[in-house]
Amino acid sequence: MRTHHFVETYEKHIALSDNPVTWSWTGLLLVALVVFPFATSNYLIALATTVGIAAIGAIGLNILTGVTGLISLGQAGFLAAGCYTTALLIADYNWPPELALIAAGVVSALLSLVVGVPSLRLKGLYLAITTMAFSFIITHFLLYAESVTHGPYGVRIEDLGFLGLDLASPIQLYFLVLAVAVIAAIAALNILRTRVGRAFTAIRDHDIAARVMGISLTQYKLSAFVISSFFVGIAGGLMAFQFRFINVDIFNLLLSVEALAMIIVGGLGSVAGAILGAVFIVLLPEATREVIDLLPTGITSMLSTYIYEIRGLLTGLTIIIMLRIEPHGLIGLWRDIKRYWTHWPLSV
Amino acid sequence: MKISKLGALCALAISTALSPAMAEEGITDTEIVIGNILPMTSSAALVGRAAHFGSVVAAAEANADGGVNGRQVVIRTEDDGYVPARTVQGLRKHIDEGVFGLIGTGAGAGTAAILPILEEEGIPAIVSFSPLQAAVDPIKPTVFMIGASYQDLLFAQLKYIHENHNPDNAKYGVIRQDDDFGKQVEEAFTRAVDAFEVDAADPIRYKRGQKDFGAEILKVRSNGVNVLIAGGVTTEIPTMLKESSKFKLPLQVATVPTSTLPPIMKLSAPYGYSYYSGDYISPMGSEGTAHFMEVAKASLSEDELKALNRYAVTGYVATRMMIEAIRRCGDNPTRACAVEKLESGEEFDTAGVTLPLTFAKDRHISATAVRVLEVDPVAGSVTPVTDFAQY
Amino acid sequence: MDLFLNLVASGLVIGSIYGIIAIAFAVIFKTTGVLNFAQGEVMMLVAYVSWSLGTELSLSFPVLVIVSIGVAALIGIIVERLFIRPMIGQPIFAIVMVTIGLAVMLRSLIVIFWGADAEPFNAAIEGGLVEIGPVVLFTEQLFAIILFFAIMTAVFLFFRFTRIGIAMRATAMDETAALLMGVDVRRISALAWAIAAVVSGLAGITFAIMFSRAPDLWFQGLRAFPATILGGLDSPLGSGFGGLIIGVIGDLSEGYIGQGLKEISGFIVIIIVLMVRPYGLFGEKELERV
Repeated sequence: MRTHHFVETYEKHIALSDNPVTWSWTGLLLVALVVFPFATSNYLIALATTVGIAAIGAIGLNILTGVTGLISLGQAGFLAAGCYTTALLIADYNWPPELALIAAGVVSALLSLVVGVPSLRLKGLYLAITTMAFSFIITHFLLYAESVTHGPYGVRIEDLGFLGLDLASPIQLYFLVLAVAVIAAIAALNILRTRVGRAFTAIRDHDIAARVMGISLTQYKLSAFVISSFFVGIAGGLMAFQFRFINVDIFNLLLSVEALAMIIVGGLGSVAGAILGAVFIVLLPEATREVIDLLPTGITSMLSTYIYEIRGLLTGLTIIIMLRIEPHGLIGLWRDIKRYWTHWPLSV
Repeated sequence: MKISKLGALCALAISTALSPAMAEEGITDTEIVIGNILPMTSSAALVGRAAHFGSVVAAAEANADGGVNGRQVVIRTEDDGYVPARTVQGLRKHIDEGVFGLIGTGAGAGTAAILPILEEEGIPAIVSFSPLQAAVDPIKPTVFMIGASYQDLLFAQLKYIHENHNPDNAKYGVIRQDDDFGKQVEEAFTRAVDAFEVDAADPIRYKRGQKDFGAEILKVRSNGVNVLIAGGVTTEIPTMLKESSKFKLPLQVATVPTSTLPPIMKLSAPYGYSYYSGDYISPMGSEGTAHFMEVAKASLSEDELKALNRYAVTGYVATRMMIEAIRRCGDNPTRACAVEKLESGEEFDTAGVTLPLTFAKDRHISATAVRVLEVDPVAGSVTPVTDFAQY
Repeated sequence: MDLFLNLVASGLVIGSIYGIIAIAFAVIFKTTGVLNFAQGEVMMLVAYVSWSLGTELSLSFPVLVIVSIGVAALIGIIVERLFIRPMIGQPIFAIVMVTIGLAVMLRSLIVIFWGADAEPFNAAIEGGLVEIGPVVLFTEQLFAIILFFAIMTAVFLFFRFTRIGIAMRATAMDETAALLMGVDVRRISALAWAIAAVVSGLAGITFAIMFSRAPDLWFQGLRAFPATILGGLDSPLGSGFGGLIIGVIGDLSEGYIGQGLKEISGFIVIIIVLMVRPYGLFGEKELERV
């Protein structure tokens, strides 16, 4: 049995991690992620890229919803804003992709001020639906402002390079997304351990109490919006790189619900949870498909008419069962396993 | 900068390491894979599933004859849920698992989205599910299309109405979806209005997925429209008819081919309208589709047969052409050879669904002749009222 | 004027449907604090079952409605018992997520059972025309409006005068106190789900009669969100009126402005209203003590 790790100073308490074991595991994971694409197919690489982009978006949403407690159903709108910014700047204004990607974050962040200011007084689901309303208005604008956004025709971007990477190659795109995801995760972890991050948590736990302690609700709620949307905008920009053809159809309400599902299933308020959730929600439909493929061909051909519905059924069922077992999400499950492991054989 | 150089270096190493394995073209000594990317779920599942089973029938027919020069034809279908970005993902998956050629290419915007990849990879494709002008104009080396565009399909009906049933004080109107499909619908409208110099009301746009058309029809009524393009995809069409019937609006109605599907006719039946549709193939149940139905009955289950409709026929024809092109390539078919055979100008038999079809080097589109159909939903009948003609 | 009145009537029809679904949302939220993302799917399930009963047994419409109410209540209770009850005491977020999973499941299940095709829902109330001045409505459209007001009245009377209704309000106000006063709090949750299933189910049936019984019926559930928020999440009656307002504004903006505003106008209204009244038009301001 491993003894507990005692934190003795405040500095140690807010350090990213003072545990060499954690550091080495993280290092190993990174090595695995770098080696992974060399040993697999392009489709799995593309899937991993999707997971990476979703994770960046989920990390962003988690800052707003999980950490600060401001529920957002507007993820699709901010993703769309980022995605269109990058795509249009590259396709119509010949911006270098590097700048266009950063612009995606900036535009999305600025837009979040437009959403954030009228939402300052709102809480809980009222806020959720307001952000959803903004998301609908954003996609409506993208569809109807044809002279700027190409409206229903969508935007196509040609082959592009990014700091010497050729993004048409699945592997090189994967490495770009991986790099951005790592930066995003580290940035988020660092934000959360500063005064700003602790203020966010205080607002989530009790906003009036937070205010009494001298935290400006206006300032910090808006910061949460801006920081979160910057991440989400970047994720949107990466989507433009990935698809190279975008139109508003993908930015629907289900995308926002899915994003929310990621952080709930993963674990609210935790960066690792957001990543786990993104992995889970993106891979679940693929996993159900693999399960079905394992069945004997006789059964699969019998099911062929409704194969997609059966996948949906399994997806929904898995989410429900997972929450039944561990309502605090995957990160809770992870902690339980860790506790069991470290306390063994005394664990219950 | 350091990271980027490292990344570039890694990538270089990988691309050299992997290049011999990239020869995967969906063909082995025993199998040849033909892919579809279709909306198997979502509101368009009604047509996506049908198109998929059309391909399956064509493959089953070929396989029953011993396959293509000894190889069995395998149909692999990816679901894109009617979302263009997922069409792209579906194609990437196909490429990864190995695919020789493509039939279903998603709906309009989906097809547009994957065109560059098809070109890059040199994958032969016959667009047949949702005709899109941009697929063949300008010509892409490996992309072919059968079927007339929505512009032509609708324009043909408006022309027929103009020449044969033009109401007094004709005023044209259109209700169309606010996406790329709706755009094509509106282009047909504009073309007709310009060509016949008739009065027209402002086009009305609706959001995809909308159910209630009360306000739209009230606008049609107050504008005095009497020739209407009901630009719904599926169940929108009967809803528009229903609201119109409330005011007994005297309407000549033009629609897209989905309006001939049995469930849509059934929903439209109570409202007292017969309407026009247009098509470039013989309607289901007619002489022209007899052979197709016969093969289908032999190769599909009871449940699957129920999913068949007009879109199964186009899927069947396109798949049949692709298989025939591969067959003409002999024992060692390549993609380049299949493309060459397709554009050779030789005829492809469609088992009576259309006249035999041809492509040429400078014409990658075929079966563009449109016939106007009169649909009587009460009788469930679809009657051609013109001959096939180019528009 | 003619156009205006007809647009208002058309807006009232669709607004009634939104309103009824919004009531269902509010009933569950008020008593359990959960926003039920599967409400649209529950509604669709009731409509499908009712359609099957109607076509298989050829019941007369009033009988069908009564049977459907029973079926809906049963569906509500079963769903609550199987999926929600085991989650009591868990974080609200986890429960909301369960409803999302449930929604995905029900959607697939319905297509597996009934297929993907749209079918007409034939009922005796359908097809006739009613003329009220310049306004023309189908009988089923008029039925939707009447149903809306009937449900509003019933909900009002239920929460105000019946013992169990008062118990539900008490639970919503303070669960512990209600428990101490002898209210069976667990049964209240089941009851809320049953009421919501019945109410939304009736909306689903009416909607299916007006349009068709199709597997995208669930989407109307999401369309009713704005109505609930506009009226106030914890106010069933307010939510109902929210639906009417959104419906009418939608059709008027389509009629006079166009540009696809029908689907957006409701959202714009919400943003404006919530800026002034952050708890919705009829919602109660939550008093907080620190």
